[in-house]
Amino acid sequence: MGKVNTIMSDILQGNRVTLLLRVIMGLLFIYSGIFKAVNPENFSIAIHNYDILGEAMVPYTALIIPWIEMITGVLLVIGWKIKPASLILTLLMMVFTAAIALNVIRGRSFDCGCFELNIFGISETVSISLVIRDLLFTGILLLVFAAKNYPFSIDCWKE
Amino acid sequence: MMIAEMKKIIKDSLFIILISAALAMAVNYFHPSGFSLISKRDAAGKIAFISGIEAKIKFDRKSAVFIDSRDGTEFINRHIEGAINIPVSPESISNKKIKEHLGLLKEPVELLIYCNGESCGTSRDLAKKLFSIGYSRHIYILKKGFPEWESLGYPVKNRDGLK
Repeated sequence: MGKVNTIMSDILQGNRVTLLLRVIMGLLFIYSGIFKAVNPENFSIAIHNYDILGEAMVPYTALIIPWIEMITGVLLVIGWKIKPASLILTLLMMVFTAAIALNVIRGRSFDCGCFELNIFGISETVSISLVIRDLLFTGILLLVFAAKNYPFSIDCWKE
Repeated sequence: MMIAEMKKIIKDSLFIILISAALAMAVNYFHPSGFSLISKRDAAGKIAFISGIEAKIKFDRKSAVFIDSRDGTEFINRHIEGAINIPVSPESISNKKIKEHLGLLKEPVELLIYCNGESCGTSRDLAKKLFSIGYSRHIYILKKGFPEWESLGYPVKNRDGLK
């Protein structure tokens, strides 16, 4: 347990793992954002499937979220405005996770429209395992947000 | 974390969201095949919701092609007799199925789409998708979906082909 605490406190202090997590999450959101921005129709269908947002809200959400993902993803990778970018993505992931969890409770099963990882053979069907995966991503983003230092970043260089 | 620092983070976050939204709207506006922001309302005039009884009349007259917009497994388990399956997601399967039945969609028949009821939404998503690829006639949607059809005792086919 002590070892885990040390590892966590090192990550929170800002080490190579923090850097790795930050870049991986950034790349993931750039990738998923591009996919959705290129085809907002499909993302709109995915949002519809959740049955949460009002009809008029769906297209705006489908249009804007991919750009938020892309821009915050780029910010995470280049290391500029890391705290606001990771805060936005953490909140976004929380909303996604809650939406998926709600539909799992409703007993529904459909493609979540999350990260377009289906093409790598990774299932993205709404399920409890998807909720757990998204909780993990939320946790990683929270770690990035809470870190004190960000090695190899513009934020660090500016300080 | 200091309150002032947190305030700055929130301010920056809002700024990033604002920039993202503005960029999204601008790119969409100038894009030659921009995404419609009117949601399904633009297609609403072309979609007619009908009851199970009305659908049965079309079924008896064979005047409509019944399309099951639920996923493949649900379709195989139970579906309206004679219906074809075009699920909305995953996209690859959906597109493949649309291509498969493209000829049928071009025939002078009515389309009647159904899913699992009023809240399932996939019927409308599929209707919109068909409109987006150029289908221009009206589309009927079975308002209360497959459960209503089944509860009325109308023809249903299951996994073993039994009705």
